[in-house]
Amino acid sequence: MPETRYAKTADGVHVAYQVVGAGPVDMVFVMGWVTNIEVMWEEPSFARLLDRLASFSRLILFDKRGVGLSDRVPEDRLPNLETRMDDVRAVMDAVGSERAVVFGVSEGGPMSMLFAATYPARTIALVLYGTVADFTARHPDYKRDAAGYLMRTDDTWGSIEFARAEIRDWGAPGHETDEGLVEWLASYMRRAASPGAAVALERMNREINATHALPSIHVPTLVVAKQHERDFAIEQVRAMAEGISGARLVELPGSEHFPWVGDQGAILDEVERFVVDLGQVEAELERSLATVLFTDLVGSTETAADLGDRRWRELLEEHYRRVRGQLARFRGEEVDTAGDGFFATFDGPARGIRCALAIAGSMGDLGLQVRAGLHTGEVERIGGKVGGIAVNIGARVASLAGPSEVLVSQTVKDLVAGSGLSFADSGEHELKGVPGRWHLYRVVS
Amino acid sequence: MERPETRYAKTSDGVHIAFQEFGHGDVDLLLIPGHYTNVDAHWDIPGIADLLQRLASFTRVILMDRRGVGLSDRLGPGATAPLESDIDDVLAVLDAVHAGTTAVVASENATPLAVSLAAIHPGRVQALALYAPLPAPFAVATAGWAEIPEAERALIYPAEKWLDRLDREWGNGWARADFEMFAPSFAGDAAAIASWGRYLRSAASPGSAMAHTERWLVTDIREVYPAVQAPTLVLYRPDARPSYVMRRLVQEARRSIPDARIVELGGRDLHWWFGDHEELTGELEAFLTGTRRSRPATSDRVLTSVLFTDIVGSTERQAALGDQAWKELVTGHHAIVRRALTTWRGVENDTAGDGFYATFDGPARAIRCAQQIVGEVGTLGIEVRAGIHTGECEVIEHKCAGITVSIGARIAGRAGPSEVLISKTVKDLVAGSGLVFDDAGEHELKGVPDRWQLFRVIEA
Repeated sequence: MPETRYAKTADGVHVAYQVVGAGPVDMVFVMGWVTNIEVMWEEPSFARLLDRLASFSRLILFDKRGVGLSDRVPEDRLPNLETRMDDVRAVMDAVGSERAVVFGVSEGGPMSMLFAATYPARTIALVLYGTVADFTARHPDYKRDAAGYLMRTDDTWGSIEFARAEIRDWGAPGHETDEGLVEWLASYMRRAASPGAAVALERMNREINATHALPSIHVPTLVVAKQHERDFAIEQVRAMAEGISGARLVELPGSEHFPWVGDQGAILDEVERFVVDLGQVEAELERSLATVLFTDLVGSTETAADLGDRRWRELLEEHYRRVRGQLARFRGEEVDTAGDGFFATFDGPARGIRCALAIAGSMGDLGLQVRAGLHTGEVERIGGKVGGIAVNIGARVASLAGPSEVLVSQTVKDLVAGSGLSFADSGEHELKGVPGRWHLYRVVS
Repeated sequence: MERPETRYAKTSDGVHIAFQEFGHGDVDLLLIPGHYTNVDAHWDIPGIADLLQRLASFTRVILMDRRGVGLSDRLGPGATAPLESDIDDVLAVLDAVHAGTTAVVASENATPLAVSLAAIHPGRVQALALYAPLPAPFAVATAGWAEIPEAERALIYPAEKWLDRLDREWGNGWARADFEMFAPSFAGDAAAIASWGRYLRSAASPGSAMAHTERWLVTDIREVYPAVQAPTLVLYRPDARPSYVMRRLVQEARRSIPDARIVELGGRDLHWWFGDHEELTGELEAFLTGTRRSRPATSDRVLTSVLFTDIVGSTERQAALGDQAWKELVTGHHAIVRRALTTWRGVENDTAGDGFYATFDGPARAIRCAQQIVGEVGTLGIEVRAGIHTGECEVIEHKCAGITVSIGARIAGRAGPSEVLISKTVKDLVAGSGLVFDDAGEHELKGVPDRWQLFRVIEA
């Protein structure tokens, strides 16, 4: 089980969360009703579901304020949908998640819909399972006697008999004889909420309605539902899916409301396919324009042989120190050192050029000469690494530069028009492994 | 043994209190392990489960989570319940399992609850066992001590360091630091840290643990020790840190509790479920078996909070108003006082002239009652003064008498118009109630030895 940590909200409430998996896409799992993120892992089928989600995402679990391991709240101050959204954002901030797929299950659904509508910039996509937008319009059989259900909750919450009835009536009809599941659910309920809190939450949940948010959802949305769900009618799910532009609805056979009971593979296959496709789009979104600078020492092998190892190492260290000084000065970001050279990125090409000139000019008294090349193009940033064809081009441009020369691509030259920098034509070149012919320019200071 | 079923008792104010009862024996045993509990989660830790099973072999064990922790109804951020509502929770559970009288076994910071329960409800507590008794947090209990070994001082001070750690490291980080200091056999034991960290998280969230610790840091019930009538066993491990401090606290408990004796156990871990259970449970069995046929306390001496109120300047008002108008005013005043007494579960003992003398089983309720009276009599155009003290009373013909009563009356005499004045004992006992006090200085109370520090209740 992953370690539980706490995020602190703006109003000082501790929200318990776990992070598991290292997939390329963040996914926030918004489980409905009462939860306890540690006890979830004690039911083998629930653990299997979480592990599967974590196999293709970085999965973020949390207990909303008022339940489970998070700070509890008085019964008259249970979190409304807005507060729950703030709690999700606090957790995302704590784990450094800019954007995430929001996966809302059951009562976690309406909150997820509202989140996607309110924070499109932080929502990669929305996945909904076993949920509807309007909880006020549900009339499941087992709640027909609403007051009686509340009284039963108050009197028998967390008991074996209560857990069994919940499974039989709506959670996973037909599985009420699975003693392991029944015992686990009773324990899960007790550790997620006290009877007083459970009654208050049940009262509140009957008021939930996120229908007004549906037209404002513009992120990719997948809706998965069981056709014989007892907590609401499949027609309500269809109406919700139609209300979200471009939402894809997948109806599966079965009546289990709990996603981990029954054929969880059918649900997870859909979710995985949806999330993996999105991941590729997300990678596109991670591309950004950058100016890449490559530097290299000229004839370093020969110099090293002349100087002897110790003296050469001292010289090299001084060279590193001076390059890093200039990178800091011109706000360059060091990505890598390769042999005796540097790879750095800049968000402005003119600063990249001025930095290269400063580096080339700072080596004279060391008896060293540096060659440098720059190119500007789209790069991908993945886990601190910078990649893409623009990086290869930058490296090739540098390799063509002569001693103390700063060579740039036509793109760079065009971009810095008006900067006061002057260029001399260096002619057209082939760059190894890169198609086309490339016009290069030498910077004249 | 199968895990016992968890059930809920409901208090008179509608709070659900989770509890378990298991085992068989001639004696009922209420076990209060400490601040943070989760009756279900005990059974996840093999060492604790073993200890509970061993106790269940010779007693009926009663385990509970008081309001605010574990599986019971929780409280909001920053909120704690005062000691007397913890006592209400205990009584609700004892009633639910039909335990008339019970032995009480408490560890470390559960000492205030166990001792107060025994003192206020002597008829319900037939024997008391205190393991590593902490009547107050270390830092409070040792205030004013001249010589504390430097190594132990470093464990204890500053007390506030624990609050910061709660906020940032609750769970495993807390368990790691706690073992490092107080359970050296398990220092750095990753499995033990993870399992204890998990237990703590299941018992309280960081916010509620912080609120509870803030209450704990102003708790001190040493003045209640003399009111314990039940035979008391004080157990501790002399080799566990902080050994000097603990030895002195144990001596203090033995000296102050009328019928107490000490048992020393082996081991160097302060917390009881680490180390040798057999020695601990063996001592408890011998003690409880020895007391099982002892008559429960006759409860003619009980810890009680006394409230005295008086109308300010009544003679002058009476002269100014005339007899008839005054009589109407006094009738209105009595109605206000009696309504407040009903609300706050006070028992009217006497009216003397224009004043009332009432008793309460909880001092916070006595204060709230006094505040209500002081506030409401303003509508009659009069002012009331009030004084409260907590101590032992002799019950004579269903009324409390004794020095405690005289002290209460003297304190009321010192109060100014619309002022509620209390003794230091009362202040120490109501930690966590949200009540706020001003120092009202030291006073001589006529006919009562010593000087008394008094406090004024102010509106929070």
